[in-house]
Amino acid sequence: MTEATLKDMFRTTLTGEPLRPVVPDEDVARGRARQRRMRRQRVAGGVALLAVAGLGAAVLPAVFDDDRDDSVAADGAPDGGDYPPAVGDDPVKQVIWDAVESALPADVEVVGLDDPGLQGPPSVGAAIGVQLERGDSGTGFQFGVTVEKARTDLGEFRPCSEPGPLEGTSSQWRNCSEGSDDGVWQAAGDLEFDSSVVMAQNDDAAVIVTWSTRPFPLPGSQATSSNGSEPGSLPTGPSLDRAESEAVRDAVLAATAELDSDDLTSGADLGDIVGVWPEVHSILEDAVGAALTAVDGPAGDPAIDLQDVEHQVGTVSANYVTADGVEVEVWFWQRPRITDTMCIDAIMECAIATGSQELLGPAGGGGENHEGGGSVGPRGQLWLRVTSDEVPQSDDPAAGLAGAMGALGEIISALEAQVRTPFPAG
Amino acid sequence: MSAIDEASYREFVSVRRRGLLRTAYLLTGDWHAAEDLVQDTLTKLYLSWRRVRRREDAPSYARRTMLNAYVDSTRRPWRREYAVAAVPDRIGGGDPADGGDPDTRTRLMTALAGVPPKQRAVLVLRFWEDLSVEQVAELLDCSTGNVKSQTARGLERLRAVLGPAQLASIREVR
Repeated sequence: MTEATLKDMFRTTLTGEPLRPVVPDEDVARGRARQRRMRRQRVAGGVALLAVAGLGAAVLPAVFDDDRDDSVAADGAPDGGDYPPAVGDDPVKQVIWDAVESALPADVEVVGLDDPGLQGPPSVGAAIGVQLERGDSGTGFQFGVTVEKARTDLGEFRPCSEPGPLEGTSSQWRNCSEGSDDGVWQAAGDLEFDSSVVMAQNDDAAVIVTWSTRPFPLPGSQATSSNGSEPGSLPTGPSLDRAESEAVRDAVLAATAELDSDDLTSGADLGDIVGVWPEVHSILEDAVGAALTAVDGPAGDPAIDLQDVEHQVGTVSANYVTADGVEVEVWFWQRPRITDTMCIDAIMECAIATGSQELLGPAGGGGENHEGGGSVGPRGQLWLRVTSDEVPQSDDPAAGLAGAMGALGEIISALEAQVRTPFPAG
Repeated sequence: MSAIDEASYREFVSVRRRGLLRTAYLLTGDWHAAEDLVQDTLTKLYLSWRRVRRREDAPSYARRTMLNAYVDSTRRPWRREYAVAAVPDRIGGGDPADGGDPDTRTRLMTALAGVPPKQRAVLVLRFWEDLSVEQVAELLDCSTGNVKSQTARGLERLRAVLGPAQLASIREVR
């Protein structure tokens, strides 16, 4: 038997092939049905663990949908429906996303979520955050890509070693390497809390890719915790390896040639943040369920520490207390760049190079202590702490002070509305 | 998914579906199982179509998806087993040049049924789809050496069932 003979034998076995016409509409219908089922199953999830400190942990929904039914604008032009909501119709994000998609492994998909009420607007600026699933693992992992204007101080930029271990914090590099390769500056490393980052910069733009390396079970999936034997243990699943993320990073960096560098700048005037503070105050009062009195200064007025006028680097913060002794502390701060570290000594909090956060607040004693935070545009961060000396009586996690942390997303939205792109001095 | 996406998806299905079904049949040995496999493959392809289409690798993606689904299905306890219509009287006794032998189909499918799934996939990809060792290695995410060894073992299994006389000339040629 020769090779051709074997092929002939294969061909002969096909003589019983059913003579059924190909009807693509049937496959389209099955695809649509599967898509609808996936949406029903994946209603929630996608939580970004933003901060952990003693008793407090806060999570924000990070919800995205992939293959939405496209809507078409009145003029007939696509309105961004071909992109995940995290991209939308933003032309800068679309350029970035096209590059991301072209480089992601073929078996990686954006997790689709069904509830329109959970689909927040895209993040401000040249940044995209999505939740991905690899294969049919039933687990998801966070993935983010941010693009900003190139630094002009690369000669002195040492993210792997400077500012060095941040005293009192644990969110540090577990490993990190930096250097130039063929004219492109690069850095890569793994961080505590199971996340990794790769960066690259050419003469015009810098790209930062972050992803979580410990996926979590998606709602409706059969995925279980890590080894299936220890209740409560964290799940594991496939995410991306470094080489795959570097491929995404390089693709995005190449795509930045299509972008105007001014579109890679974002930020908020601290004065605008102060201007919206009455709304922040009101949101907090609603969340706590009591009037908040400013501990320092006139009622409702935050303190401002403007450290760099050109880039609007600095902090806006306030301390409040209720008649029942509940204390509320809220901080907003803005870094020069996303790749910069900025620590707030007063709350022992740092935003390190990746934009992730480290919180290390007081232990909380015998009372209740909730704290957490989130990003406000590419350069801004919010941190909120709600404490009481009283031990809570309710077992309902959504009640009391924990419920007050639900205001976090609303506050971030109010502050993020002040972020502009491009930012003149970004 | 936009109407434009679905149009290109329909076009892909129109052109490629029959080929996928034939390969699926050679993998599964059963037309119903093959249809299930193709439907599952094309459904997954639909969900990924936007990205797959942009990368212009839809045929490769579809083939890879189908292979993964096939190998995965063979690991499940409820997988559909290939059953021959009748147990052949003779195994390995036919004329190798007679591709039209009515027993050929039964004998070959019986032989293939005895080949482990991955070896079977390698044989089908190489000798039916005419893919190179390198292409098969990429599809199955393994080394070229692994593909060659799987090919040799798969052919050996066929040889054991179909008979040494007609299989004497089967060898690793690529």
